[in-house]
Amino acid sequence: VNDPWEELLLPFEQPDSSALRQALLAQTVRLLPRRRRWRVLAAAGALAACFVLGMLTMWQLRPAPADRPTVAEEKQPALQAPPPKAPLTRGTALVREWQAFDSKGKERAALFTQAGAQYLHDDHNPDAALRCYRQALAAATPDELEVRPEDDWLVMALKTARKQEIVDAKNVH
Amino acid sequence: VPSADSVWRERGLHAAVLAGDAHAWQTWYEESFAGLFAYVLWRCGGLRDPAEDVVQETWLTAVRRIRDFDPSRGRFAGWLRGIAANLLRKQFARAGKTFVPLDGQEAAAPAADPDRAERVARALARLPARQEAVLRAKYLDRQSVQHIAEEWQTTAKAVESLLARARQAFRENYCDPARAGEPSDEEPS
Repeated sequence: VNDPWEELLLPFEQPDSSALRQALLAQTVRLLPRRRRWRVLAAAGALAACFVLGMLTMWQLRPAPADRPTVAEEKQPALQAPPPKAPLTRGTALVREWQAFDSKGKERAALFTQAGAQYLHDDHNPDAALRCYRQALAAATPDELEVRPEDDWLVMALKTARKQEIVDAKNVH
Repeated sequence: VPSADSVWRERGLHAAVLAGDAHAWQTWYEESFAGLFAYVLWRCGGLRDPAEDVVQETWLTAVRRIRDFDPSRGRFAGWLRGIAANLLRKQFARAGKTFVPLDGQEAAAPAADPDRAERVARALARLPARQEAVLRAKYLDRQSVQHIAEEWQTTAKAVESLLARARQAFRENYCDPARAGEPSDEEPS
């Protein structure tokens, strides 16, 4: 070394630093996974913050209630329970016929008429209807033998035939 | 400028350390500890206690900031030296901070006088980065002027000139402790 000043710049003999070296290595190795966990947590936190910010932005940008398109709500008709079945006030045609059979007078004629109508219109059984109607006309008064607007075609035909029988019987005598 | 091989090797070590591989960290540590300790000891004028403090703080800072290390910009050892230089600069920036151990502990080198060591440390801390680097290459790393010139991709004459200026600046800083106490604005590399 020519320059005496250079002596100040020369390196020093290194002291034994093995203790520091080992202690520091152990300390830094312990810190490594901790730092990694922090980085992972920081990344997860940043992702969560981005998600929350995105949600907040969407919430802020949502259309005001007045701007929302109004959708006419079509009221659906409320489901209604099926109407309760009417009580069977009327019995079957056969039951009605038996009731008529056990009755007398005007009630007998009315019940046979009802039984005949049921046979004809509900059961589509003109034979049974004819039987009942004939019994009804047999029990009917002369006034009831007149054709009425509510009479069906079979009753009309029977009434007409009965009146003709009466006329024919008078002519014979 | 680090070679491509060293860049790839340090990238691999960096990735492994980031993944928490203790073996990769130990490899780096073992390779770099002695060089870093020698550098810090040199910068501390041979005082062992402050040098050990700075070395310890340097390694702890390196663990905390390992993510910032970029192998393409330089070697790991150089990055560590940069951290240590910053820590030394900060130490001198603290008003009234003295390098000399108050309990009179023995310095690293028997010849290292505490007062002289502190003046050397402050004089080096005051140097601009390039002048500090050329003094380090010449006196600490014992590199020849020709070798420095090749590594820095310049001429030997330019290195000689830079060395002369660096020695002159060091001398002035050493002789004027008040001036040397002011830390340099430039970060030593």
